[in-house]
Amino acid sequence: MKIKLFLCRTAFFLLSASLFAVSGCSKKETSTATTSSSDNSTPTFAVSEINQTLEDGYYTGSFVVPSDGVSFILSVFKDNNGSTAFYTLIDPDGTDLLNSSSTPTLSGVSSGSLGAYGYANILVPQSPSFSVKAGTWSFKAYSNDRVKLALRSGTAPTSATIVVQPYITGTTWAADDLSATLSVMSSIYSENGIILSVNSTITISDSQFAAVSGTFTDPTTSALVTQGSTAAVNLFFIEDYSGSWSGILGNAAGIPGSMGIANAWNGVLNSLSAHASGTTLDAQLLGETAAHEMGHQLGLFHTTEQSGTEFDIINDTAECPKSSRDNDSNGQMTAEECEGYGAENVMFWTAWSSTSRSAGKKQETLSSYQQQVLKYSPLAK
Amino acid sequence: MKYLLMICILCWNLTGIAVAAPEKSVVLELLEGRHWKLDAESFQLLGDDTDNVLIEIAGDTASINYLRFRALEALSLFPSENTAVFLEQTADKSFAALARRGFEALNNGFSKTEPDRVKKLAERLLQHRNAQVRISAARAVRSLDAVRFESFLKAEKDSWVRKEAQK
Repeated sequence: MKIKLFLCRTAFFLLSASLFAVSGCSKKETSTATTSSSDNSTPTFAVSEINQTLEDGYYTGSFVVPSDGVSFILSVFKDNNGSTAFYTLIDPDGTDLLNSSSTPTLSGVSSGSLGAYGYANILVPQSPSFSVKAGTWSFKAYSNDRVKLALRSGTAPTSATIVVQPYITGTTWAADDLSATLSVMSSIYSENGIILSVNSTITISDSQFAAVSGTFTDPTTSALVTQGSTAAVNLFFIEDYSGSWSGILGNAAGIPGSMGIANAWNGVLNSLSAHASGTTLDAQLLGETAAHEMGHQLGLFHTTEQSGTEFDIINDTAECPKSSRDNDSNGQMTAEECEGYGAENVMFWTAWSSTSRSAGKKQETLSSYQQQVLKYSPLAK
Repeated sequence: MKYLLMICILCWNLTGIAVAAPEKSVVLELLEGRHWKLDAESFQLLGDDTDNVLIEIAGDTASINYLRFRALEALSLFPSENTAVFLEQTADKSFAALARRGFEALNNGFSKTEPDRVKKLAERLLQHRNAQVRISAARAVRSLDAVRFESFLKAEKDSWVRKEAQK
């Protein structure tokens, strides 16, 4: 039995309390509904805004999943990066997926449950334990400005193609310098049954985007990521991170991030300078980082977290528990300590050390269930 | 007998030095991780001589940059003269991404104890050709010398740099 992630339990509690206080005093009102269509070349993927009614202090709404529904991502937005979250998500059988006593549950797992600033979401299915049941789903949400549904329908997938849109910023490296990296990333996914259709890299020359914060609510980062395509997973290869993000290799806008909607959470950041020796990029490591961050963006968690006490919600991924694998008892699970216990997985929390990478160690595997999450992704075809 | 005693004392001191400096591999382990953040407590447990190992890592031009970046950040926890000199040289003579981190580490580690030293370096970096280096220097100057910060804002040609410097 997997231990679910409760990374931000305390923060969530505080956020929930404040959200409840804010939402509990409103009168009944209805938001304006608009519907936007998706890319015409992907008729099985549609984005729509859902009408909400304010009742008993919660914004409530519903939507219908057709009999051929494959997956959906339900997103809640709060302007000016105010805090927001869902309170319930009830499937056609009456099960609340955000209730901690439900089995399975996304309580304490999805950003839509935990709460976040400006944007939060719920992905179904985020593991094979969940299914997109046909019928009417309903939700209650805390204070927000809009809720949007991105729904994929069609036949149950046995394979998948995911469109990837790379971008590059800064002047040290050019689009051609990414070809080896993108090849590594495509190969990783291909070996795991996912075909990546990688678009030509778009160069963003505006100098303010050369180095950006890893905080997606930062105005500059937001302006960059909002440029992302609505029909692809957007990979922003930035020249560098700014400020306190100086030591980061890459980060995603969420687990998952936004899909199919232009906003500040519609992409991942990968640092070029962090992956270079001098100006020579380590294509293997950068490819693994891009694959890893893309996995987050599509809903995959770290298989084992740094502490070795928290694991993902997927039942067939190897775990590397601190209790038996922390050989040096320092409370940090290295890839070396976890060899054969998940260190080879794309979504292991950390890369192999420089020494191990030099010896040929790689992170290129995804479990069968991880592959299934990607094949069912709303963005996959 | 006297010489034997001196040799014994010397050996004892050398042994002490060897024990105090952490193994490079131990320091490197603390610098690994895809989503890394500085674990001050773990670094400080390694002892004062950790700065020498971090300087070796940060100064290794053959090493991958993320290890060098993180080593620089960790150096702010070991504010020795040795560290200050290394960070100043890094800020003055390295490529932009390393220079900025060298300055930021100096600012984080020494702004309270040696503000004039930080300000002196920041003044030079306000003229740096890389915008991110200028922004970091300007943010430091803002808290150290408001008048100089205002003059920087007037002279800086890129509006987005002026905006970032004021964040």
